[in-house]
Amino acid sequence: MTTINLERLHNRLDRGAAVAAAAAHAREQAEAAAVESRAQPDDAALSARAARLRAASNALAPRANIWSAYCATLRTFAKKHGVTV
Amino acid sequence: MKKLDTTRAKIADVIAQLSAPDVTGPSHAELTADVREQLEALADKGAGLFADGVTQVAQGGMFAPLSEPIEYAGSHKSIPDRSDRLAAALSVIQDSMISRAERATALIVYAVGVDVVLAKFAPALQDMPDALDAETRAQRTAELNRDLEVLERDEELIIRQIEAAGGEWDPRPGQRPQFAVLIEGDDV
Repeated sequence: MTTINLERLHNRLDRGAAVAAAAAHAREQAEAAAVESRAQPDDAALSARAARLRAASNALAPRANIWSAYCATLRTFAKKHGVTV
Repeated sequence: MKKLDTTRAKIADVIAQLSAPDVTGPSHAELTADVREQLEALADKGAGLFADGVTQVAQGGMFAPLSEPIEYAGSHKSIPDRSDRLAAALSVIQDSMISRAERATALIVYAVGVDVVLAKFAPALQDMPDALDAETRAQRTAELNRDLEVLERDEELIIRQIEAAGGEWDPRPGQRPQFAVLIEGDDV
């Protein structure tokens, strides 16, 4: 008899969703900062902030991808055992 | 996190061993046996072609064991479109050329001899990666899969410890889901 640990399943999916949301937020911030920096090209502080936010966004993107892939396998596996999430 | 990295390095090592040529096979012996089997089949075919050629000579004809009339499977006039007729004709010619090439190979292998052809290929076969024999390979694969499962269960336990301590972690590419969420008898 095999069953799915629903608590852990949801916990892992929530973690994946949190990383995806953080990555999306970081990307939006980086894009907004880049627009702002382009509008004021002489502002070194804005340029540094844009670079920092871009680096943060770039760091989160692969994490979001790997979580997305892992969550997809969790969903597929759970579905095979009759649990749709 | 160091424990997780260490376990994951071991997992990567086992996965690498599972895809190594000595485990995926075939061995030189298997490869040579496969080639020999195919060469022997070709030699058999070649012997038949040679006999056909001799029969042609006996009937006053030429020794031409590769000759065959090109025949259409159906009347090309039954195909209304001209380009379809051309495609059908080219297909027949192509099939005929492949068939002749196969028969020429068969005749050469028969004429030269399986052992001679195999001896010619031997250095090339030896240059290919060797593998364990089939039985040892199956045992080794099963052993590595068991090792992998033990390590993946360890990985999952370490992840749970990190989670319990409020820490962050990221999945490993290819991390299998069952060790996290499958309850089989006792919790895994």
